[in-house]
Order: sequence, then C-alpha cells, then structure tokens
Amino acid sequence: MTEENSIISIKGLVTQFGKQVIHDHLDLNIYSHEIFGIVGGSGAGKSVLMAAILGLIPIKYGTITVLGKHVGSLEKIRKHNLQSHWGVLFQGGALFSSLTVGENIQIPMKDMENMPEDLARELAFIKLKMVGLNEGDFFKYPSELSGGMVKRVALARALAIDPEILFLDEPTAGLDPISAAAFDDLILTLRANLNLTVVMVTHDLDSISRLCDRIAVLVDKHAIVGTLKSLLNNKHPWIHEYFHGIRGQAALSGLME
Amino acid sequence: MTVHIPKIEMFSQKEMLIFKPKGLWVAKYAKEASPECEAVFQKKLPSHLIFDLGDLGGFDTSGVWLLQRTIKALEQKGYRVEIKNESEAFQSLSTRIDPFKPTLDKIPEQMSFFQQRLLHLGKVSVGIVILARELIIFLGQVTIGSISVIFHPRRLRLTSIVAHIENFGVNAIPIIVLMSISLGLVLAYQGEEQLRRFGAEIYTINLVSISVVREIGILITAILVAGRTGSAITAQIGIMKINQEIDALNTLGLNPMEVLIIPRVIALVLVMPLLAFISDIAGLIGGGLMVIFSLDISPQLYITRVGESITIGGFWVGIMKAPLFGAIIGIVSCFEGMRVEGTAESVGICTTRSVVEGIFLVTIADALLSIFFTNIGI
Repeated sequence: MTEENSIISIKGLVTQFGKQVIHDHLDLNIYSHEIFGIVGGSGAGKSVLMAAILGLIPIKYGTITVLGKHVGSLEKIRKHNLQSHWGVLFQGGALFSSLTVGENIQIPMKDMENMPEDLARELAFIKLKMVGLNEGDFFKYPSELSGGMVKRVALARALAIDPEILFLDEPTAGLDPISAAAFDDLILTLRANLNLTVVMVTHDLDSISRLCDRIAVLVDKHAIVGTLKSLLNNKHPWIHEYFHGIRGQAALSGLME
Repeated sequence: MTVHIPKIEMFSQKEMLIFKPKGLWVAKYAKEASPECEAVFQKKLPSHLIFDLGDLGGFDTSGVWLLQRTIKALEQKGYRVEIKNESEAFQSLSTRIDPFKPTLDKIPEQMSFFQQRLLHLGKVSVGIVILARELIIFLGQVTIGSISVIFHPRRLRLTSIVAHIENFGVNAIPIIVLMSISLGLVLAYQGEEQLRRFGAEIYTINLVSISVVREIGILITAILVAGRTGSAITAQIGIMKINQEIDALNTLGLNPMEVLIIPRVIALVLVMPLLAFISDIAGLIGGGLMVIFSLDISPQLYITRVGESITIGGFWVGIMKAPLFGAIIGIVSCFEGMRVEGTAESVGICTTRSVVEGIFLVTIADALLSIFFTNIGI
C-alpha cells in the first residue's frame, strides 16, 4: 500500500489543550476499505484524534487529508462537503433527544441530501432494520431506548446516506458480550455490502482481533501502526502489556499459539 | 466526463420495453432519481418489461431500494418484469434489503381542527390542575424538609448556602442597581410631568418614594431574580436529573431535598430582603437625580422630604414581602427543575415555565398582600 490510495492521511499532527500536548507530530495513513482500529490508554488522545479528523477541535500544526481534500477545520470540511462522505457514531450515541428514532435517522437524508419525504422514511426503515431494530422502535424517543438500542440507532443514523467512511467511537463499550459480538458481525457485513472504510476507536480486544485489518496504538503522543500480528511482537512496554496482559491473553489466546 | 445524474432510458423491442438506468444511483442524487422512477408509471406499458442494469454507474442502498421499489410496484400491477445484467454487488445489496422492506406506514389519524382545539383545551386544563396539585405537594415536602433541617442543624449545608448567596445575591447587585435607578428616573419624570399641571410637582418626591419603597423596588427585584436565578436553578437541576446526578445522590444516601433544594430556597429567602433594600435605595437615588435637577431642589431637601413621606410601616411592607417572594421563586424553580424528563427540549420547556410561573405567583401574592396591608391600615 502506498500513500496514493490512502483515504485519510495525517502528517505531523500536533494538538494541544492549553499547555498539555496530546499529539506530538503524529503520522497516520488509513487505506480504503480497511477496518482501522485506534487503541491507547485512557487520556492517550484516541477520541481527540478522531475529533481532529472530524474538525471538531482546532489543530496546532500538521495536515490532515481526507479523500484527497485538505481538512483541519469545520470551515474547510463544510467547503468540501465532506460531511456527506462520512458517518460518525459518537460514544454516547448523541441522538437528538427531541426527535424520534425515525426522525433522527432521516435527518442526514432530508437535510443534507434533500431526499423526497417518502423515500427518506422508507430508507430510514431499511437502515433501522439493518442494525437489528424493529419497526415499532421507529416512533420511540431516545429517552425510551436502552443503551444498546441507542448505539444501534446512532449507527443507523451514521449509515443513513451510505457514507464512504464510518467513524466509530467505542462502539461496543457498554454493550453486553452478545450484543457486542452481534455489533461486530454487523460492522463486517456492512463493510462487505456497502464498501465502507471503518475507523474505530475501541478498548475491546475481542472486537480488535475480529475486525481490525490494521491498528494504531497511541503511545507517547505518537501512533505505532501495524497489523495485530506485528503489534504482538512489539517491545514497547505499554503495547506489550496491552496485548499480553491478562485480558489480552484471554481475548487473543487463539492468535498467540 | 461521465454523466452522474441518474436517468432511466427506454427502448422498445418487439413486444417488450427495456428500461436502462444510467448514472450514479446514490443518496446524493436520490432527489433526481426518484422522479425518474415515478416517470415509469406515467407511460403506457406493454405487459413484458425488462430492466437492464448493465449501465448502472454506481449505487448504494438508496439507489437499490428505489429500483427495487419500482420493480416491485410494477410486478404488483401485473406486469412481467425481467432483470438483466445485474451485477453481483447489486444482487448482494438487494438481497440484504429485501427482507427489510418497510411494511409499516403508521400515520396517526387526523382529527378535525375543532377536535384538535378541544383536545388541546382539555389537556391544558387538566395539566394546570395536576401542576397545582404537584406544586402543593412539593411545597409540603420543602416545608417538612426545612423543619427537619431546623431541628437537626448539622444537616444544614452552610457552605452551599453561602455559595448560593454569593451567586444569587452579590452577583445580582449590579443589574438590580442599574434597573432600579432607571425605573426611579422614569417614575419621577412621568410623575412630575402630570403633577406639574396641578402645581403639585413637589409631591413627585412622595410619589417616587412611596411607590418605590412599597411596591416597585421589591417587584423589580423579584422579577429580575426569577429571570436570572430562577431560570439558572431550573436548568441546573434539570441537567443534573438528565445526567442521573439526582439518582446518584439518592443512592449515596443523600437527600436531594436537603442537598440541592433547601439550601437554594434558604439562600433566596435570606438574600431577597437585602436585594430589595438595595433596589429601594437605588430607586430613590434614580428618582432623586431627576427631581433634584428638574425641580431645582437641594439633595438635603430631597432626603428630608423622602424621610417624611416614607413611614416605618411602609418600609416594612415592602421588605417583608421579600422573603416570601424569594421562597416562591426558589420553590417554583426547584420544582420545575425536578420535573425535567430526559430530553434537551424538556429543559427548555421547564425553564420557561419556571420563570413564567415564578413571576405569575409573585405578582398574585403581591396583589393579595397589597390589598391586605392597605385594609389593615399600614
């Protein structure tokens, strides 16, 4: 793989809050049609990295290129209309609490793509069922849903206009193991059917081993990128502890042999 | 450059009609693709139709669904539809969508305008009765809570009360002073205009001092506090409820009544008389500025006349109302905060209601007290 077919490319990214530096000249390339995992300790800047790509926080130095367009601020992202090329699943779902589930899913279709009303409603139904929910949930409000359902609705909204890139912030956090596994399956099928590139921030080692083609580990304000196999042999103490600790061993036992 | 806009081209072949969709059938062009599909039904069609998908430039769920929906509708009307040159990707997406086809089309039954209005009126009326009932229950809870705190002073949260006093009281002084001075000015200016016609402009001083001290000072304070502090209390408690902070307090064995509500109500009760007093002074200063310049009297004379026109009773009538108004605002805003449910919209609704109800109840109480005090001759 070369830089030419990278869908997201980050060069020399520096972000900081006040005096606290989060990323110090971080480089990263994400290629088309891969599932790319971002892991790291709490406070290592995983979510901040995603927010920087999405233009939600200002970046200090460096360049971020998405689909060949220079981004780095919301203005530039709006100019290139990149919002209709990606979908985002936020950690807490971030559903609009005053709208029903159906209206939440229809928002990107109606407001960004001006779809006809009937088509938007039918597609919202299709997406809702794609993520494993029922027709009856269509008219519910987010406050009436369980945590797992909120995540699914948020995924349906992120997928509403068939984006090329899907950003997932801790998609399986807070789900029971069965739902989490079902969620992983869902991501895999969706990628196969919809030609998605998936960028996911996660702590879930099971998800990582099942889904991710490549992984970036955020340590010491940099990103160490590799496949799961190559990272297993990495000698960095945090990475070693992460994959060879008790939980890592349990989740990855199949791969270690 | 290839054409992206989706189109359906048609060719006649013997007895059959061939539809050839072209362009990008994606969400971005769905608004162009949708009428293309509808146009199919406008034509007079032979019984045998063919969809040739060989020239499809690209597609996603929306495009696949649009074509599938059209084909399904044609089949239902009795046409024989054949699909040709379907790519593998199209087929796989198409089969994924198929079992998901939306069947439910739930649109709530429409009522007539008259029925809707009647229903609305009923709902609002019942709502007011329920609201009054809940408010009275809440008033009872606050009273019981306050009494139990008085008997167990160690449960009184002094630090919290002091912090609230600073927030609700000290920080509100500038705006209250500003508003009261300008109201005093306006009152003196208009009063003098009228009284001059009778040659009684000197009584402007009585007009200003009595109305400011008895009514205006405390009322403007209450309105400002309801708008400034009442809304803040409702929004804060409401968000705490959404964030489950209230639940957290309950599970930690802390009573939200004692931790959140009573300190706020007590702080408001303590701080309102002080604010009302400051407002009185500022109002008198504002009125004085106008009177001194336009009537050309000395400040000393103004102060003496003010002292003569205000009785001790009149002063206390104004100040005595302050703690009551503070309690009303505090209880209403905490009550509305606790009524917030789940959504961001509900925070907005409850905050609006908190301010409206607070000012409404304060005005009613003021009117009743005004009649009462005048009748007993103060």
